[in-house]
Formats: sequence, structure tokens, C-alpha cells
Amino acid sequence: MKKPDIKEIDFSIYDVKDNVKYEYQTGKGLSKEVVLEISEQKNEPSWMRDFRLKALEIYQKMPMPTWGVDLSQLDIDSIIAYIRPSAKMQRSWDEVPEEIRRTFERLGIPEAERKALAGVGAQYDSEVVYHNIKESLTQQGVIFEDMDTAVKKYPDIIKEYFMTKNVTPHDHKFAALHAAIWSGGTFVYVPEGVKVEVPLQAYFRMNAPGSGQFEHTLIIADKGSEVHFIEGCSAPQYSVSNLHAGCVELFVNEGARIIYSTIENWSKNTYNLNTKRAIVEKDGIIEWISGSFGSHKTMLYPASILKGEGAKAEYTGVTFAAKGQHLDTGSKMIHLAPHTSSKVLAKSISKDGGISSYRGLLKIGPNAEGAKASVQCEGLMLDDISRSDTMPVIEIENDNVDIGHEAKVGRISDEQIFYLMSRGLSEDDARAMIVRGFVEPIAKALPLEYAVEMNRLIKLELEGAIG
Amino acid sequence: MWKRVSMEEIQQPSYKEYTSAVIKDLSHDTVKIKETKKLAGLPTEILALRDKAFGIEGKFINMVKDFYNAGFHIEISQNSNVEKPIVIDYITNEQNNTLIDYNIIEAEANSQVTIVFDYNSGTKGFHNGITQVIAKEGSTVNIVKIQRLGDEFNDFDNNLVIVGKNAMVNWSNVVIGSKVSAFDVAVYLDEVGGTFTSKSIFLGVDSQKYDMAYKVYHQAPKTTSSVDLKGALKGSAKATFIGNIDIKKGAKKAKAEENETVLLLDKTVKSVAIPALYCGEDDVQANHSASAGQIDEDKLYYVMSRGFSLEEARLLMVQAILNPVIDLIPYDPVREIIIKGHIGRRIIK
Repeated sequence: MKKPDIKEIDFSIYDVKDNVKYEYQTGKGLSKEVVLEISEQKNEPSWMRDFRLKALEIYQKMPMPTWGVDLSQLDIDSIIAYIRPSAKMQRSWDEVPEEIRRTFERLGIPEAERKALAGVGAQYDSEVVYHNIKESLTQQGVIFEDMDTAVKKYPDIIKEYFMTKNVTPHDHKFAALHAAIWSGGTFVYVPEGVKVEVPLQAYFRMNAPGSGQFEHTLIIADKGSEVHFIEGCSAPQYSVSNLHAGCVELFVNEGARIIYSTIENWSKNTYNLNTKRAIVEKDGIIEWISGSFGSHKTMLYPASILKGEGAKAEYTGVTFAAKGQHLDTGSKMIHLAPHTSSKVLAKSISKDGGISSYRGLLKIGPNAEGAKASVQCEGLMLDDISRSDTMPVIEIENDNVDIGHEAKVGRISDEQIFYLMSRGLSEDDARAMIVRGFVEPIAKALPLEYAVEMNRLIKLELEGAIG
Repeated sequence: MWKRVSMEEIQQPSYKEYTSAVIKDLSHDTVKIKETKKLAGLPTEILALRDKAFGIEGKFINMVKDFYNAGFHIEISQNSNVEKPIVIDYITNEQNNTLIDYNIIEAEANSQVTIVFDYNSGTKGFHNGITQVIAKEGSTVNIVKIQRLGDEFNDFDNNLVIVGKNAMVNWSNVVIGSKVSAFDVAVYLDEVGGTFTSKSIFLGVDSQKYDMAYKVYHQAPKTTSSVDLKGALKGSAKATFIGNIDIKKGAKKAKAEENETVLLLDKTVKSVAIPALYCGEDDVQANHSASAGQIDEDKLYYVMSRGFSLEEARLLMVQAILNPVIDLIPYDPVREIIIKGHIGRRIIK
């Protein structure tokens, strides 16, 4: 039987390079001077400057990870740590410089904001160029601010929460790197009982070649509140490496719920080494929805620390690794309290020599009595030059648990095709239907408007007459 | 290695003679058995395996290669069907408490054999061994390894299995003894149509630490593997299970399956499972699953309502999981009295 030609993601709209003037950029590489320069340019309070310097020291001491993807080609000393477009942060798209605004328009961000979002932040290289939230939410006390402004406007909260009790610079080398040279990102605070019904979105765009983006996202959902945060990322293709080492810290307080969706579509010269973690208190819920399509190499394992009784976590992820890509993703579920539950559904597609790996940790601590957890991994291989690896770790330190793990790898079976064809579908239609069915769980998990946006992004096109 | 029972805490003993192995072989002339110590040199086919990675850790392998004090070289001649199992009884006692065995099994084309290794008795001591199995074209080799050493033993077992064309190796580990026990089985399905199956059990009580690994390399088309491990943990016992299925490019129509079930009988147990699946070929069927949990309360309630005590009921549930594997051991006295009796005593205390 003929193999389907499943095309790679159409990058053309993401691949437009802008000729934007940069007002300021640091030299290549990383040193105390670079860190001081960034801090000074941002006119930061001294505690943040000291924090950055301490993190730099940690970074310099820590070894590179020896597992996961091959990072030997990543030369951090040739990455520009901070590059600022000549644009001030605006609350209105009309005031964003035209070049930059056009890029975001092409990506459909202002349109999506009008139609379906409660607030939008747009980051261009190192700085946020647009940040706005609907008036009604501000009145309810919701804070949606770019991170640099938040450091100055809410120093007490930021000082307390910024990389202190969730992700810390000590966690790994790229967390330390992030802490030293972070720039941009979003701070969200949702007050007690407030339910933000329409999603908030942040869009991260890298334009300059050989640069790095290190945005920081901090979301605090107070008791009984709810928020859905969507994150999108893209960059044009360059021959030199770009580096993305962001950090996401989520605090889900008692009875609160955060949905965190990511559609990652970095260009294929980007190293995506991201850290995401949620701390979930009593009866809180964290839901991660993750689509990884772009980047050259990715290492990303969103972690959920179920700290309070009855806390819940869900991870739904799809990874699409095509030519030249090695996407090493997964999830960490750490159960520390009684009656916590977690559910992982990870799907991957590998094609044209792409490598997709699931690497996960499920840990049930001694106090997590009555914990329930299930992990399900499925790999779909579209040819015999690709790879699909699954490496789950399950650690249990308690007897009163209910744990299940399942994984399978294979290709589209001839039996499935035969069955669908016997029902009157053409072979191509049958294959398309199976592939669409395979990625459906994630499309279903997204809000409708965003699922449409994702569909445009994925564009799984099959050869032949498939609509 | 990551997450594994720490080998650092193990003191390696000084070299000692070991003389209490007993081998039972009723097969007459189709099987050639020699003590490995008395071989003029290692067989060329074994030397040719130098590049095949196996074993718990390099230092354990080197120790056996340099200092083995026991072990047998067993050759099964072509087309012979050895009906009665060959049993190697590695008895330990106060004088013979350091066992370093190097076993080599070569099954020639189309032969059939069952070999039982029974590591037993003693209270305190050290065991570290290598077993290398070469199953040639069309042969069937059944290996049973029973580890029921005394509670103060440190036990290490390194195994390398080479499965030839259309050959089949059926493997079974029964792990119930020792204070620290680690085994590693590396299986190379290098030729078309090779099959490896494993059905194994473990029971860890008190502060026993087990470290169990199966690594199956599918390197040829139409190779099949199935690894099934069932066990129970009680007291503050710890178990680590590593199950690697590695399907190399070119292993078309390979089928691989892996399953682990652990019953957790006490709050203080610790269980780690890492069932990894590496796949470089699309035309395959590979899956693995792992589950862990308590005995179903409804089942316990039902059995107790029929007049059993809680402990008896728990024993029945453990037996229900472990006995199907124990029943495969082709070695009556050990199977019925010793292993089942041992499990009974360990669960009901």
C-alpha cells in the first residue's frame, strides 16, 4: 500500500522576517556585564538585579544536562541574550510600530483578541510590545500585566513568588540561565472566586537571528477562581541557532482551576528548553494542554505538584516531529497529598526522520493515600526512518494507590485501512481519518476558536483529494 | 545507574573457594557438561560476544570474569531433545558462602533443553554470576532461575541471551530470597524469527531490596518478545523494575509486549517501574503496561466472609497472582514445598 504523504506544517506565514530596527542589544554570550546591562536597561529594582547575578553564578557552576536531546551544537556564547525592538509597550494596536503590528496581524492575534480573548500580551524578541485586558476584568480585580511592569508595580508579590517557591534557579542549568537573563512575559493574578470565562493569551515572537527569548510567566489563581491561559510561539527560520528558555510558574490555590494551553511552533533552528511547573493546593485543578510542532530540539516536561488534598492534574499533549527535529517532551506528576489524581495522555507522530520522545515521571509520595493516576502514551510512526521512544518512570511509596500505565507504538495498520475502505472510503480518506482521529483529543481540549487556529497551524495535508 | 538499588553499600568479599554445586543431569550423551574452571579457554562463540552489552554494572561482570569459582559449560548437541530438566543446585553454607559462577549454555541447532538454576540455602553470603545463553537456529531453551538464598545474602546475576534464527528462549526468574538482589537479563534477537518470552515473579518482604531489569533488543525482522513480571511487596521492601524494549530499524514485523503488575501490601513499601519503549521501525506492534495497587477490598471481603482471616485472604490473593508462574517450574520438590511454602510463611507472619 502507498504511504500517505503527510505534509509538514506550513511555515510560510510564520517565516516572514521583519526588518525591524532594534534600539538596543547586548553583545553575544553571557557574562556579569551582560546581566548588569539587562538589569540597567530595564531600570530594575536592586533586589532583582542581585537575584539575576546570583542566578548567573549558579548557572556557571551547573553542568549541562547529559540526557535528553543532543545539545552539543548549542553555543550559548553566540546567543544574543537581550534584544529590544524600538517600540514601547502599548495598550492599543494602533500605537504598535507598523512592521511589528503587521507580523502579529498575519498571525491573527488582534483579530483573535477582538473575537475570543479577554486579554492579550504580545512579546517581540526580548520585550513586550502590546499588553491589554478587557476593562470588565480589571474591575473585578484581575491583574494581567507584562512581567517587567509587574516587577515595578507589584514588587511585594513578585518578590515573594518569582522563582522562589516554585521553579528556582537551582533546578537545572536552563532555569538558572532563565533567572539571570529573563525578559518579558506575563503576570496574572485572579482574585478569590473570580472566574475568567474567556481565555487570556500571550504570543511570543522571535524575529532576530541568533537571539534568545527568556520570557517569564507567573499566574496566581486565588481560592475558587478560574482562568484559561493560552500561549503561542513562533519565529522565522534562520541558519543560526535561536534559544528559547522560558519559565512558567503557576499557583493554583484552594479550589481554583488553571487551564494552560500551549501551541508551540518555533522555527526549526530553535532550541526550546522550557520549564513549566504548577503547585496545586487543596481541590485545585491544573490542566495542561500542549501541542509541540516546531523547534529543532525541545526539552519540556510540565510538572504538576499536587500538594493539597484532592488536587487534580491533567496533561494532554501532542508532539509532531518531522525532519531534523528531536522533541523530547512529557509530564511530571508528583502526588504529595491524599486523594490526589492525575491523568496523562501523550500522543506523538514521527515522520521523515523526526524523533519524538515521551519522558515522564509519576511519583506517589508516602502521604498520597488513595491517589489515582493513569498514564497513556501512543506513538504513531509514519515511516521507518523516524523514531518514537517512551521512557516513563513510575515511583510509588505508598500502598493505597491505583496506578495504571500503558504505551504503544505502531503505524496505521492495514486492517484499519481495510475496514474503513470496506465502508466505502478511499484509501487516502481512510488514512486522513485515522490521523485526524489520532490528534483529536487535543483539538477537543481547546476552545473552539483556538482549535480552528490550531488546525490552520497543523494543516495535516494528505496526498489526494482530502479536504 | 539512575534509580537503581544502590550498589555502593555492598561490600565485595575477598576471594574464597566454592565447592558445593550439585548438578543433576539424566540426559546421557546428548549433553556435554564441564566445569567452566576446567575449560582450556572460553569457547570462541562466547569470546565473539565481547561487544554485546549486558549485566548490572561493569564491575560485577569483571569480577566474575576474573574470579569465578564455580559454573558450568553446557553444550546440547544438534537435534537432541533433552526431556528431563538439567538442574544446577547452587547450595550455600557457612564454608561455601561466596559464590561466583560463570555459566555458559550453547544449544546447537534444533535442540531442546530445560535448565534450572537453584540458588539456595545459607544465611549470609555473596553471590555474583554470569550466565550466557546461545540458542542456535531452531532450538528451544527454557531457563528457570530460582533465587531463594538466605536473608543476609547479597545477590547479583548478569545474563546475556543470544537468540538465533527461529530459535526460542523462555525465561523465568523466581526471586524470593536475599537482602539485596539484582538481576539483569539482556536479550539480543539478532536473527529472523527469534522469540524471547519471560514470565517472572518476585516477593519482597521486610527490608528486601530488589532490582530487576530486562533489556530486549529487536535487531531482525519477525522477532517476538514478551516480558511479564508479577510481584508483591510487603513491609518496607523496595523493588525497581526496568524493562527496555528496543526495536532497531529494520526489525520489521517485530512484536514486543511488556507487562508489570505489583501488589502493594503495606504502606511502607516502595516500587519503581521504568518500562521504556524505544522504536526505530514503523512496521511493528509494541506495547507495554504497568500497574500497581492494593488488593481489591471487595475481593478480600468476599474471601473473609467465607471464613478466612485477613492474612489468609491476602495470601490467597498473592497466590492467585504468583502461582501461575510458579507452576511453570519443571522441578516438583522445589516448586510445591519450598517456594509455595516460603511465600505462605512470608505473607502470614
